[in-house]
Amino acid sequence: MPSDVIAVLVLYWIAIAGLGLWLAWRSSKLEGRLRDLGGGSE
Amino acid sequence: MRYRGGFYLAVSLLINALATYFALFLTPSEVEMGELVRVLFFHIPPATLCYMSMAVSVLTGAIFLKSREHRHDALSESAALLGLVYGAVTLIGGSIWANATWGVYWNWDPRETTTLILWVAYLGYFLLRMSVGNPERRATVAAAFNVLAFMTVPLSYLSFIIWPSLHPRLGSEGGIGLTGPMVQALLLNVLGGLSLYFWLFRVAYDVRLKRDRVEQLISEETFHAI
Repeated sequence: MPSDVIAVLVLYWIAIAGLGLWLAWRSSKLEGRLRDLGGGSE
Repeated sequence: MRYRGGFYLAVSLLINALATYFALFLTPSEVEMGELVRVLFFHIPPATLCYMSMAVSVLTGAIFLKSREHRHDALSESAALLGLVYGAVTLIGGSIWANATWGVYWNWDPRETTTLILWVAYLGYFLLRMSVGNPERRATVAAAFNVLAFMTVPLSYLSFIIWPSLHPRLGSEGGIGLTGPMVQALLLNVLGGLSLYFWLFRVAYDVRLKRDRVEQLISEETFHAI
């Protein structure tokens, strides 16, 4: 298998996994902030 | 609710794993490109999702301009965020493919150039959002800018028809000839990408709603403090 094919595949999954993890991290941070402000979670 | 989200993600990842296996090991190579043709299975899905996401973003942005409901602006921003990420994957992945087939990462081909313009336009969309403090005004200005930025989408899509380009076309004369298993693998990868897109979109939208709630509570606290 050419390394370029693997490179594009890995890039695709790093970007998607990175976005997913970043969104999950943001979500948990905002939930904590909401609890601090007394607004609860949606 | 949390369990259903996890179950949906697991099914989506399973579809993607099958699609990747299909693309790498069960499809034949192509006459002209050989094994390199497999890049298209991981290049076309993000490119399609980028265009689709920007279309969702401009549509919900236009709906916001009429409805003035913030959930429409939230949908628009979430779609633009995903479009920006899928656009970056398309640009970088495309340049890796270009280097493998043309010998250079970037040669200002019309498809490359117009897709870069699209990406920069939507980067501008987020910079614009960050520069406006008032949420109401931010949403309005962003939705108006979105209409202008979206013009880059058909420009990118049609670029290799409008201008002479090295970018390969699917199925056309002199383009990439796809056989039955290749078409099936491509459709499976698009389906897998789409299923994951919906999950990411839902999470991005939730994050945006939580951010709105935090901003609202902070402004209420500030108001009561005064």
